[in-house]
Amino acid sequence: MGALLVAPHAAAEPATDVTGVAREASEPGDPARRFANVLLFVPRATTEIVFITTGTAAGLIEEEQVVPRIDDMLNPGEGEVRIFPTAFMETGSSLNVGARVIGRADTVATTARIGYGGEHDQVAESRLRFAFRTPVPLALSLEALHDERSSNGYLGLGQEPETDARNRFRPGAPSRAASYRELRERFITGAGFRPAADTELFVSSSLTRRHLFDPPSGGDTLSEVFEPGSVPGANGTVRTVYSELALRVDTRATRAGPAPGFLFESYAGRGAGIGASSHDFVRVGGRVAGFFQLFHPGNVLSPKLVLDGLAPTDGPIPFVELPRQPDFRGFDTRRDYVSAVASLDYRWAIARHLAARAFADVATVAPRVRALGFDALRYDAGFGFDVYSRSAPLGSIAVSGSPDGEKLILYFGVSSSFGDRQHRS
Amino acid sequence: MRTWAQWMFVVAAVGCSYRPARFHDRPPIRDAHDDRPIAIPRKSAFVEAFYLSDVFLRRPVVDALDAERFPHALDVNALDEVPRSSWFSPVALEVGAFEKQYAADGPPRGRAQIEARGGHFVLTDARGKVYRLIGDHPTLPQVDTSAALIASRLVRALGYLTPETWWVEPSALGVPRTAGPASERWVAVRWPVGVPLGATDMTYQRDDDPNDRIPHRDRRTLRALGVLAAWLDLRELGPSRLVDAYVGLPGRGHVRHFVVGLHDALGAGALGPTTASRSVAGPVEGDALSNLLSLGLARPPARGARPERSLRAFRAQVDARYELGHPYEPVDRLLPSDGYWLAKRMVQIPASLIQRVVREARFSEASLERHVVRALEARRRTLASYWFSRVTPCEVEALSGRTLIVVDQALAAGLEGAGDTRYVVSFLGDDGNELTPPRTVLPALAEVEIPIPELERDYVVVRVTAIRRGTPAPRAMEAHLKSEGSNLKWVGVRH
Repeated sequence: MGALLVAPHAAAEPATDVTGVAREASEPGDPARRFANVLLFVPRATTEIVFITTGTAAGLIEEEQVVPRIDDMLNPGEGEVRIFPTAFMETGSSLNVGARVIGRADTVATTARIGYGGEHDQVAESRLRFAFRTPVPLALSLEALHDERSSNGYLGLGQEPETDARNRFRPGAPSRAASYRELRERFITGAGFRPAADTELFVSSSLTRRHLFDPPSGGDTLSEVFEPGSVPGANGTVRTVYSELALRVDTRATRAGPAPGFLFESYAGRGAGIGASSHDFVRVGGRVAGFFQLFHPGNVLSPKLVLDGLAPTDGPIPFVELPRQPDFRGFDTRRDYVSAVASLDYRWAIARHLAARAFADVATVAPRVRALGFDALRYDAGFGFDVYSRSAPLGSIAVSGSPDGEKLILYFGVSSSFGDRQHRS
Repeated sequence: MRTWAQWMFVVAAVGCSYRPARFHDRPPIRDAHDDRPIAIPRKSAFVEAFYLSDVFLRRPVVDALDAERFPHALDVNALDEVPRSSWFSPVALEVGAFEKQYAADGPPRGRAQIEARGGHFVLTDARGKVYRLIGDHPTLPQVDTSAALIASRLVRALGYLTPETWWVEPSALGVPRTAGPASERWVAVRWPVGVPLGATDMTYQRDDDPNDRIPHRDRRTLRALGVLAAWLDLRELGPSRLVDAYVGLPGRGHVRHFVVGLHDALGAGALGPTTASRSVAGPVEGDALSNLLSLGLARPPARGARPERSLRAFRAQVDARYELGHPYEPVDRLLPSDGYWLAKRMVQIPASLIQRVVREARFSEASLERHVVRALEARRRTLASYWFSRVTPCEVEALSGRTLIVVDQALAAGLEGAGDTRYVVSFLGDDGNELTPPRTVLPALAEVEIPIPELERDYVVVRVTAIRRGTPAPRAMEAHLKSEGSNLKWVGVRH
C-alpha cells in the first residue's frame, strides 16, 4: 500500500461532452460515405465475427496439449467463463455458425462449442483439460464430440479408384464419385507430457461411433455407385475403440515463423470394432521434416514426408477408418491402407510477423507399403502468406492448384499443431 | 435499375456541400473532471497473439470496409484544445516552475532498500515510495539512462503523465552498488505510482471505469502520440508504452494514464540488444515487396551491432510521416488538427528548457550533449513545419468589438515568413452558405486583424485559409461567433 497516492477527490461529475459541439460539421461526400457504410455493414460485421470466432481465442483452445504458455491465452481468470460466437465454412459445405464457451479454474480448463450449418450439418463438442506444470509439464484431457456432415465424398480405394479392381462399381452407375452423410460421436481421453524441452509424449484412447447414411439430397449414394456390400461400413454403424501412443520431437525454436530445426513424429495404435463391428487393425505412421536455413535466418526450406498406414488384423475394415491425406493441400479425396505425402515448402520472412510460403505436395496411396510407387502421383502447388506472433501462428491465406482444381485455404487463428494426434486421423 | 441510379444521384448531390459545426453558447470545458472516485478496476490482460492479430489482421480489413470519415477528436473543447484530465495535465514551461511541478514525489530519499522483483530492481526509499531502477547495457554506456531522463521530462513538458525519473547515487541511499543493475549509472523511475492496471486499450474505453467515457482511438491525446513518437524517436507505442494505474486509496481513487518505457526513446530502443525488438525470424531487413519478389534471397543481411553506440545515433533528420514499429490505432486516425495541436505544444517548449533537460543527462562528453540538443531542436522544427502546413495554424488572440485578432503560430515560431503569407477570409452562416464575398488580408508580424461585417445572422463562422507562396493550406481555421445584439461572442474554434 506504500505505493498508493491519495488522489484529490473530484466533486464535479465527469464532463459527458467536452467538445461543446451542438451539431457536428458535415463534409462534402458524407452522405455518400454513410450510404456506402450501410452497404458495407454486412461484410464488415462478418469480418469481425469471423475474426473473433476463428481467431486466436477460439483457435487456441484447440492447442490443448502440454504447452504451458497457452495458459496465458486461455486465461478467463479464476471462475470466469467466456463465450465466443463461432463460424466456419468448408469447401462444399454450408456456413456453420454457433458458439464456444470457455471456462477456467485453477488447473482445469473446459470448453464447449456448438455449431449449426443446416438440418444435417451440426457439431457439438466439449473438452475438459487438467494441466500441471510440475514436476514436468503434463496435461490430461477428456473430450466428447457429436457432429453430423451431410456431404462427404468417397471415390473408392486406391490412387486411381476408377480403375482399381478392388472397387466394384455398379454397372450403369451415374457417377464414380459417391457421397454420404456421416453422424459421428467420439470420446477421447488423453494424457501428454513433455519430458524434455523438444520432446512430447502422448497417450490417448478413443471410442468412436459413426452412422453412415445416404445424403439427404439423394443422388450418387454409396449404394447407387458401388455394388451393395462391396464397401465395408457403408449404410451402417461403425463402432471403434482406438488407443495410441505418439512421440513428437521438434527442435525448432518456434512453430510460428520460419525457424530452422528438425521435426520427427511417430505413432502407433490399435483399433478394434465393438458391438456389431467386427474389425481389428493396427495403425502406424509418422512424419519427418527438416527445416533448413537458406542464406538468411528468415528463409527456411523444409522437405517433409508423411507416412500413414493401417494393417488389418481381423475382418473387413470400414472405409471411414482407412488413412486419408490431410497433409495434401490439394483435394483430400484418396483412401487406402497406406498413404504417403511428400512436401517441399519454402517460407521466407518478408516483414516482421509476415512470411510468404511457396509449396508443393505429391501424394499417393497404396494397398501396402511395397506397392507405393511413383505411378499416377497426385500433386499440387501453391503460394500463400502466414501471419504469426512470437509464439504462435495467427493466420494464413494460401491458394493451391492441382489437376483437380484450385483451392483457397484461409484461416484466422492458430492451427492445432499440438492437438493430440488422433484429431488428424 | 433506373430507381437505383436516381437514388445514387440524390445521395451524391446531397453530399456536395459543406456545413460547419455549430457550438453551444457556453464556456469551454477546461477540466474533464474524470477523477471521480471509483472502485479499483480489473487489470487488463495483454496477450501478444490477440494484439498482433488485431493490429495486423482484423483492423486493416475492418477499416478498409468502413467508409466513414474519422471524427474530430472527442476529448477537445470548444477552443480545439485538450482540457485537463487523467490523460493530459499541462505544466508550466518556464525552467524553474517546470522543475518544481515535475518533481511531485522527487528523487528517492533517505535509506533505501532494493529488491529484485518480476525481473526488475525495485527501490523503496525511506518514505515508502517505490521506484524501478534502470541501468545502461554494458555495451551502451549513457544510453538508456540518459534517454529515460530526457524523454521523461520532455513528455511531461508536453502535458502527458509519465513517471518521474531521477538519478540515483547508491551510496547516498545507503545501498551497495551490487544490489542493483550492473551499470555505472542508475536512474530511478517512480513506478508504480498506484495499482498498475496493465496496458491502456488503444481502441475503446475501460468498461469498469465510469470516468472513461471517450473511445480511446478518438482521443487527441493518443492520436497525437504519433507526433510525439516522431520527435523522440520512440518506435513503439501500444501496450508497451501506455499503461493505466489506479491512483489513490481503494474506492477513493481514480485511473490515470501514463506514458512509460521511455528508456527506449531518442532511438535507444533500436540500438541495443537489451531492448531490440525482433520477429521470430530474427530482424527482418529490407522492404516487404523486395523481400517477397526476391524470395528473401536478396534481403540485406541482418545488422549486427551498430557502429554507433551512443545517443549520437539519435538523428537530427526525421521523416514527418514517421512510421511506428507496430500499428497503433489512434495514430492511424490522426487528423491534421490533432498533429497541429501537438506540434503547437512542442514549439511552446522553450529552448532553455530543452537545454536544461539534456544537461540533466550528465553526458561525459559536451559534444554529445550538444548533439542531442541540436537533434531535438531540428526534429521539432521539421515536425512543426509539417503539421503547421497541414492546417491554417491560427489561434484566436482576441475579439475586440467587431475585430477578430488571430495569431499565425507558424509566423510566431519563425517557421514561415510574413512576406510569403496572406489569408483568404470568408464568412459563413451555420448552414455553410457564404454571407459575403471572400476577402484577402495580410499579417502584421504574426497577427492578423479581421474586421467582422454587420451580418443579419446570430451565428457566424469566420473561415480563414492561409496562403503561403501562392498555395492554400489544406484546411482552414474556423472561429465561430455568436451575436448577442450588436455584440459578438466567441464560442468555438476548429482547425
